Amino acid sequence: MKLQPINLLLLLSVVLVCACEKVIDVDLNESDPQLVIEARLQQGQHDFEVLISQTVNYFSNEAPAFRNDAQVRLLDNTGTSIDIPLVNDGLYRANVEAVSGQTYTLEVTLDDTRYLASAEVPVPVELRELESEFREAFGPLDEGYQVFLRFTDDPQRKNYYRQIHAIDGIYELAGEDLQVTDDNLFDGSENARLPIFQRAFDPGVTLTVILQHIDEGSFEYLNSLSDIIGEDGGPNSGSAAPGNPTGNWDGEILGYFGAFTADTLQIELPE
Amino acid sequence: MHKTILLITLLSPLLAWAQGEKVTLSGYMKDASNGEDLIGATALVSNLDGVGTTTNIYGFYSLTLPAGEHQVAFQYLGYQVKLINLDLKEDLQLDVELVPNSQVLEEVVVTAEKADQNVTETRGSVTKINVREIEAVPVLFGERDVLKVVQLNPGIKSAGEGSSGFYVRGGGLDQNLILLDEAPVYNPSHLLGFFSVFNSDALKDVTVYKGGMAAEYGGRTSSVMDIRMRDGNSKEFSGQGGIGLISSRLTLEGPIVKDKGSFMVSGRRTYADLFLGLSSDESTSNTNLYFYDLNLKANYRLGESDRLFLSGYFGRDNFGFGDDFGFDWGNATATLRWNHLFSNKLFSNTSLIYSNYDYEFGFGQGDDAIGLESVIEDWNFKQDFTYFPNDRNTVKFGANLILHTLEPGNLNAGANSGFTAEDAEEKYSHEAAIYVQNEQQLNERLSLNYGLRYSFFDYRGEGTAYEFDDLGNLLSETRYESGESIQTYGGLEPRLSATYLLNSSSSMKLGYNRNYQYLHLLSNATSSTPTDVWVPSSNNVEPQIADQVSLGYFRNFKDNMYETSVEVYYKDMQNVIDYRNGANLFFNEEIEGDLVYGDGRAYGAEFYLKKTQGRLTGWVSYTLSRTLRQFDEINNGEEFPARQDRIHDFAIVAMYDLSPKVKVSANFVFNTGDAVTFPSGRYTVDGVVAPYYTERNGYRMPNYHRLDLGVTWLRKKTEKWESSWNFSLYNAYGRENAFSIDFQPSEDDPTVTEAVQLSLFKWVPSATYNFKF
Repeated sequence: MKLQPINLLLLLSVVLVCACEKVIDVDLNESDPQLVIEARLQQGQHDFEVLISQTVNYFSNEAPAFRNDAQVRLLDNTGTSIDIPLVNDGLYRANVEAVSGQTYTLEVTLDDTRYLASAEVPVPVELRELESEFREAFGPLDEGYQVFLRFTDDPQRKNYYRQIHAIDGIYELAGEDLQVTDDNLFDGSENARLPIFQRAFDPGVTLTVILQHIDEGSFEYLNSLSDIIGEDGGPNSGSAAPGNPTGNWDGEILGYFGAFTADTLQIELPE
Repeated sequence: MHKTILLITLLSPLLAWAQGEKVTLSGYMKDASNGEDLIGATALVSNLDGVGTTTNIYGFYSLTLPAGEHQVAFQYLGYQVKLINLDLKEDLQLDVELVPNSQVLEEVVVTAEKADQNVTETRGSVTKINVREIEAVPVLFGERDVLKVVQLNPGIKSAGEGSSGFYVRGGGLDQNLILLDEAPVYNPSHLLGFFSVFNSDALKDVTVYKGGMAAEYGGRTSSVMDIRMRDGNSKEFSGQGGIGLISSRLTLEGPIVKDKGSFMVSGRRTYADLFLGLSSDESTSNTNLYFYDLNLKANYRLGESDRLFLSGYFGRDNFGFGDDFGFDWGNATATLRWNHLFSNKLFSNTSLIYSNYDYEFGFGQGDDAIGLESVIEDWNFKQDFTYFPNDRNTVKFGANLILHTLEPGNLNAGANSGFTAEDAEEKYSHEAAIYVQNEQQLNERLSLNYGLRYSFFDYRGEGTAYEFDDLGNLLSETRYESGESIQTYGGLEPRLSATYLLNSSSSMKLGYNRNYQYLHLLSNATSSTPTDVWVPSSNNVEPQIADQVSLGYFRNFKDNMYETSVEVYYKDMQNVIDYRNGANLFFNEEIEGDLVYGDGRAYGAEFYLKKTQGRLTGWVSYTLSRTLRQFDEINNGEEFPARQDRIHDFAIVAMYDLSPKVKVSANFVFNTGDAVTFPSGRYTVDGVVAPYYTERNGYRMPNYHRLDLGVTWLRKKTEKWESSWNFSLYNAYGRENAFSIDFQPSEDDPTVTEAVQLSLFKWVPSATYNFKF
């Protein structure tokens, strides 16, 4: 759980001092384009997508550069391989059945180099219930409903979770919505209660919440990614170790290959 | 006739022996107005060249001289010299009281000759703060603060706006040992670093050793900040205090038995939340935000050779929003000391020290509540001896043992919270040291302070030891019983300081020290937050080691009116700690797997000029320095600048007596920016825009500069009552110094990214009414 005690310093600054902001000029270096390959495999019969792109200079206005010249294959642990063909700019897709407990390997061949990453598909975890609680405003949070996910955590192993939510059908994807957690604080709990962090929801909205049970590689990657992403789409200036996230590719490239299971529930918040 | 000759013959060896006999002059030097012990005061024998000594922390001096007539000058900066003619035939115990200059009513003030102490004393790399001097230095919110003033000196850099932490000669925030009457203070910051926990009304002496620290100190690799509380007026009841915009303070002191014992109680509290309560914004008015400090000291002389001291400090910060969220933290320290004079040459001090730092925060109430508490607690038993064998040597030796208990996280979870209440494991360790050192005057020009310290650390059970692979993945866990040793470390720490007097007003000083550090602070943010985690050395974490060498040239001008110095240093650090990407420092039992270890080096030159006399006084300090780190796992293993690598650091402090009643002061600081990591590219992953980094700390924050102004207006001064007003303006020209820089989509055009800088303070005025009785 990445409980950043709500950047207390900023809280305090709101209260006591000027907290003045202004736009300044910062000269950033340019960088050679670096390859980014991301893919997520969902348990069961689903479309499996692989997105291949490249980095651009930080202040540049260019559209992201996609790679349409890759060979992509998904291998299961018996050696059977499935080709994933190109369907759109940088997007490769095929319909695949992924089995819990099995390890799959993703192979991408590009520029005469072969990149490999593996992930084990987790077992499904049921999202049993959604709870809501009205909270008064405090700090940066307006007043509103805090929502909690209820599920059972398996005490036999180390588990990792991700939660995604949509308000009235629209998915929230800001920096702080990238919420992944390990089971440190509720290990083995039969009635684990996980809040949707840093969000207060308005009365009357319909919330769609997805609880994902993710593999360790996804957690490592998304956890280090959420550490470097600040609010408003920029980097997190308060990160202790700013660096590129720890992916599971065997080469010096960005992105990751992860596996997950998902369960969804909806809750309509009272007026 | 024959009888007379026989008598003379028989007596002559006696006479000859009497001629060569040595006697010891010893005693205490005190302030005549309030009985406070004078630390580092000198007793100089005027008729013997180069013979003299200085008082120790308790004001005790001991001088072994040939029997006969001597004139001894007792002196201390800021006090009237006392010349005493003595005809010493046997050992003499002589306590001396010196009158402070401020008490002298005549026009002519005889200033102490020992004003050249910065040139002659055997130690370089030292910054001494005269607590009375800092009264005029303007600081944030009008609070006089020793930690802030210390940062205006060369080699000591502030950790940034909003932080009380500091870096000494390129070292990290946790590498400074801050001692309050021998008790370590783990978090010297209030209110997220805007104020320190030290109420300067309660303090007597602050000395910061940036290098060359004597063998009696150990435990941290970069510096020792030795803070001594005042003992309290042993002659009459007195008090002082102040009422200000943000905080108020009151100190009461007096004798327990006149001239035998005294006490001091000093308290301070802020009340920022009283103003917040007036806000119409509900989230603001429900906020509580306050801190308090309480310093207590008592001492009593139990006869000629024994003295007992008790010091305590308690402080707490409280920050919360209504019933929903609460966050508090604080330090508690207590020291019980017994001074004993075994002889007039052997002084002993035995201390029992307790120190506790804890923080606690909680969300929600009742069954839904979640609370997390973290504690670090020390018990320290310390024995120190000072032996004055002759007029050329002062020997110190001793030992100490510290029992550390770290509770990294105790979780309290309500039944409905869904969190399983499980305390993180406590960590136990013992830290011990023995040392011996000698301060020796070799001849009129050369004096040395050399010593050896041996330190030892034992990380022990009850507890679990974790083993990780190179990537930080957990390999195994091993349980240890209570008292079982999990890992031990130890090392020799040689120390050396040498001063060579070129002439009466200039000297060269050389210093070398090796220090081990066994406790480490893992800090997650730009400014030190109270939730920083202390970890002990273990089977995974090795002790930090630093070796430092320094060389300085000290020169005084115009009869000690101007003090100047230039010092260069080089520091080599081993086993410094940093984090893997995405490291989780919060309530993580396996945190050691998220740490990476590397080396560091720092070097620089410090320039200092001080004017000590006249209507205009003050100092200028400039430091040119670098501090670099190297980790295999970071920046592709290439050396990179540490965050605190501020290459130019400049400060000027000036105080001017406009009239006998009005004193104006100003300080100006300038430093080049911290090293910071900015991205060189970006990409989209998982629907979010991610920064692409090509190096660590490859950029610099903008330059920081600021001017503070202050005025002290003495309203009334009589024998019974003194009052003054102090007005100060922090950041007089309102410069928006960058606290952090974020990259965000522009408000006007979301397709354009811009860099936005956040500043904390613009103009901050304050007014304080101070009084003394």
